[in-house]
Amino acid sequence: MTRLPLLLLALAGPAIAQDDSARPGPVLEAYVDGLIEARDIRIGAAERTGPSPVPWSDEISVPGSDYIRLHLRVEGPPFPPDATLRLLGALDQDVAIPLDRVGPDGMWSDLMPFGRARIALVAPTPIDPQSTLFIDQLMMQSTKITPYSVHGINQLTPINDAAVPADLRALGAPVAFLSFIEGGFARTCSGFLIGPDRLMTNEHCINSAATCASMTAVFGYEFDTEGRLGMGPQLRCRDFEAAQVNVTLDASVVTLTGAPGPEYGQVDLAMLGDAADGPMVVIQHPGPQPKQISFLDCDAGETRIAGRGPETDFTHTCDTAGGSSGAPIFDVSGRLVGLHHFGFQDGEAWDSNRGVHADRIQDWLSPDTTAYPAETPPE
Amino acid sequence: MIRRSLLAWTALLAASTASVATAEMAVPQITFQWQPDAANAIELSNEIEALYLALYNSGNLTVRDAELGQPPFVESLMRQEQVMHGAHFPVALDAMMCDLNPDHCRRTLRPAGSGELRDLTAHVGGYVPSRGRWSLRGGETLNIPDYDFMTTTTLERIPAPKGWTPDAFVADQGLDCSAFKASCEDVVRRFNPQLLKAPASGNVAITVPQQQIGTTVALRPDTRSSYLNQLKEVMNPDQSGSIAQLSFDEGSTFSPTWNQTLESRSPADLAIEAIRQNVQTIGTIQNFGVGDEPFLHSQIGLFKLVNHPFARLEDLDETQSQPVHVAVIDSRLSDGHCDLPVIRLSDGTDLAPPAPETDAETTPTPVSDTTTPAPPPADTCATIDHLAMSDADHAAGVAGVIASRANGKGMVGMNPHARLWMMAFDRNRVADQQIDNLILQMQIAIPEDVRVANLSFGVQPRLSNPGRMANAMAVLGSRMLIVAAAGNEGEKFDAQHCPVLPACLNDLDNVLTVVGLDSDMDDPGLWTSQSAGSNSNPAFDIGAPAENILSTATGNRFTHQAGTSFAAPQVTAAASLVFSTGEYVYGDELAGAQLSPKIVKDRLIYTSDFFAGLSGAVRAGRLNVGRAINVREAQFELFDGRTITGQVLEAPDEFVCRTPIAGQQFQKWYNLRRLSWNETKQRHFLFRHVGSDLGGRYGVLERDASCLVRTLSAPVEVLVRQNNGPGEVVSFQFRDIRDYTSPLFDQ
Repeated sequence: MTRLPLLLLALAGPAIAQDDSARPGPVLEAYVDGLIEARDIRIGAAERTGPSPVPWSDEISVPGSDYIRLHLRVEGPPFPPDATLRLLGALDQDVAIPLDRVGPDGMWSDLMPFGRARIALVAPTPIDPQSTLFIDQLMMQSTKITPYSVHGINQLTPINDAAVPADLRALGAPVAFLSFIEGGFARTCSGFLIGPDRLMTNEHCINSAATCASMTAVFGYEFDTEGRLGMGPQLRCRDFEAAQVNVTLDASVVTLTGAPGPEYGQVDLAMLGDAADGPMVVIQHPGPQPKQISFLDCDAGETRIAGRGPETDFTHTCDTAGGSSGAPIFDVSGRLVGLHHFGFQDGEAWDSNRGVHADRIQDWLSPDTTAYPAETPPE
Repeated sequence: MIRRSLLAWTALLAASTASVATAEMAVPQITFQWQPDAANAIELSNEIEALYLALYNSGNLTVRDAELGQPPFVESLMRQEQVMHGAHFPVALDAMMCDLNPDHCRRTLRPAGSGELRDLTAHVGGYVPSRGRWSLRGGETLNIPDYDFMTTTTLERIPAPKGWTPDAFVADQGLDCSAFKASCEDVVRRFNPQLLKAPASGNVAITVPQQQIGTTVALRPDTRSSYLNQLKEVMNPDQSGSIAQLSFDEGSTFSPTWNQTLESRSPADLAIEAIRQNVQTIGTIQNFGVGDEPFLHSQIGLFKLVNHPFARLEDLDETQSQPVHVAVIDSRLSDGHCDLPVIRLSDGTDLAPPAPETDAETTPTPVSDTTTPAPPPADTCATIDHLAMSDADHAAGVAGVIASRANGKGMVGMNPHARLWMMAFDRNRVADQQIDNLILQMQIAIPEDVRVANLSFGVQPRLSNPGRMANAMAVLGSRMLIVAAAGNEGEKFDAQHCPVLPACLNDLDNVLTVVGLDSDMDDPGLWTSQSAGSNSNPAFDIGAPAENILSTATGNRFTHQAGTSFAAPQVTAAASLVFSTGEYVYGDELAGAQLSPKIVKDRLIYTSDFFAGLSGAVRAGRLNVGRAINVREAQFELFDGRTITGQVLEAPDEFVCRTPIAGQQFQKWYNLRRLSWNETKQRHFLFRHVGSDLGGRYGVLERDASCLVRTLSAPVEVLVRQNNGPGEVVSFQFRDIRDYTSPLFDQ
């Protein structure tokens, strides 16, 4: 039997605290979801020839890509405070990026679905001729997912599928799709609101200022009951210095640049379930896909086993895939029982998926979700 | 020159738009040919006076600016500008001109009596005619009537003086008989042969040329017009909705009594009654001409590139103005547009052009936490918004390129007479769902009347079998042409790799794929931008300009667009024009009086402009609308520079090419659709239909890239007619042909 310790382990910090040497390596599901290609789109004075207030416009289309993101960079004097780069795309995405916030190090745009965007530089006041905006990288989704089905066929189901009970469907609103860049790769994870503007995901997803700066959390990215795709607001990670990170529990809690909680709800960390008690559901964004739910053949196995720390984890049989990291695991009553983070592959089969016990996270975050005891940073 | 109506002018005087707002909405006009019935110059002056007063008092006078010369008199100016004829200058005209130019003239305004008010030509705006007190200097600008009086020479029968002979006839100065291709004296001799031998002995009528003037006048129909039902019969349904409830109020220069009269009567009917004896029977309803479109200057370049008649400010003729139904399959539109016709939706409802005061503003949905984009400006039907870039704006833009109305507002589409259907297509579905939905639309949702469908999008299927979509489109092959955009990814496709649907289905007879071109008139290349560019494939059919395309956008706005999405609708519009004129001209010869979509597809291909620089990127060249829609005539360009269009009377049934390709040496004239000189190769290339009967159009359209013509001295004779005249035969040799385009069908 060949066991595959997959390469992403190297990015994950401390290894699992388990001493079972026969255990396969975990797959940390910060999913590599596509390509980042260099682009050489220069928007300097020579290119800004259109009529005011739109001196430049263009479009980008990558057919077959579920989404794209643009990396913007400014050279020379800053753009005026009222200058923006406007991106319009499918699913009514209409984004205006203030260019005075874009510096020489650059920033990644929001995510534009279906791989297409119309782009316009909007500048009501004159731009310094020496100021140049570059679109120097293009992130494009391009990878297909492999479902992690511990047994049986993949039973991931769109969250609004008619087969999904309404009370389970309702649990999914606070769950967001996370897109970020790490180590030159485009990656995805899942996350969920635990406060009006606080989002929990895995530490192996958002664990640095760079991942925080590039992260966009997309809410409402799901098919509706008639199979139409929708996409809600995108919010960014505000400041990694303010984030709470627990390597042992593989958990990060970041503050968003807005507060979608009142609209999308939040997971109550004060009302927890026990993984040992029975069937579970995982609401997640596998790979680049819109929100899905695993609720069939989805149950806990071993509990209180070692993950990154002693007795932090439980195994489960719920279907997941790359990109499901950071998804909430609920019991069928809607109480949080865990934070999904690992999968183990044994040959071509998945022999377990892993979640972190919710009560361990609650202990870390106690006495309430607004207080975050510091943990010793990982070395 | 943009003309303005008196009603608009009165608005200027009153500094109030409220008094004329509805009148400005009056799009349709009734046109008449006005001709005087005067026996002498005095009567001519009086009849012109009556014409102007009828138009002025009914709010239908059209005016323009003119600069005073020397002497600075209003009568001199009007004669100099040829808007006044006859022996004298009536007092009422002086009064009317005074009221038209209040900055330069004052007069005593005495209300007209009830008897005078009953006669539309007996008062000036409800006041008694009176001389104006003018203060004029040379170089100043006055408002004058804006009518082109055309002088024509007609033959009249008049009593002959006793002893008159044709030889005694001396033409008055200025009498022009060139239309008869003879001197006026010769005309008299030709038309009075019996008097050459026997002088008139009394009570004899003779035929002599007489100079006549005439002009075209336009009246706006209004809701009170008794002629309305008559007018509706000849108007498009979408025009009848814009007949105005004309409004006259205290803001105008008319007397209060006359304003009240006009509120209760139909101004159009009053005018018609007043000039009835001088006008032809009610003619056609005429929209604003293309020259009246405010944004035309932004479109002229495009019209020149595709050789559209609008580039020469020519309106479409009757054959080209038939209401062909065109479907735009694109993102959903939720509102009409002030410059689009009524849009029919697939659920049977309509999107009508909104009234200005009820137009809803479209606000982009703020979905990012970065900033909230500003809403677009309020509706004026004259706003260009460079940020109109949403999917709905895309749909509105495609519709506008095709069918924006010629209504004196905004821009004009390439076929403003097209009937527009919008079929909502959800591009927010995953690719395979999009394909499934498109197949369903093709199978059940396309209205039967639709002859052309525009698909300015592309889908790359992941799992779907392209054959299913091909089958759904092929089923429509007998009745609908599908025009597809090539896509904007800058990909070079070929026969082995072409994944975009529906663009790559153009081997079907009724699918025509359009690549985008840049705006180089003489040497166009594929359209590219910094981050996008037209896809290409040697098998794609035709090209059209794809940059800086002005079109309509949501919220009654306009914007400039780029990409193959806006090249395709140019071809769609051209196809609809070919359907219009082809079925009009050849309707009596067509089974079911319908052109086959294949005929139209082939027509657009072989009439395009070919450029060496496009070789390998597209099968044909750049769309040439003018060549495509001249369906009746053979079109020749000769090496000596002559352009000859007409009916081919004589041509070799077969001509010879020197070519290494076996079987291609002998070409059948009746199968030839295009013979065009390739400057680079110093040879002709040709398009021909093969595989059907001689002269048939249903076979395969083949392109032969190399034909060194060896048939040199064979005579070609073309019957050229101008203005339905008797025609002239133009002869040349086969070797003289630089470019030949066949008519749509052989007669």
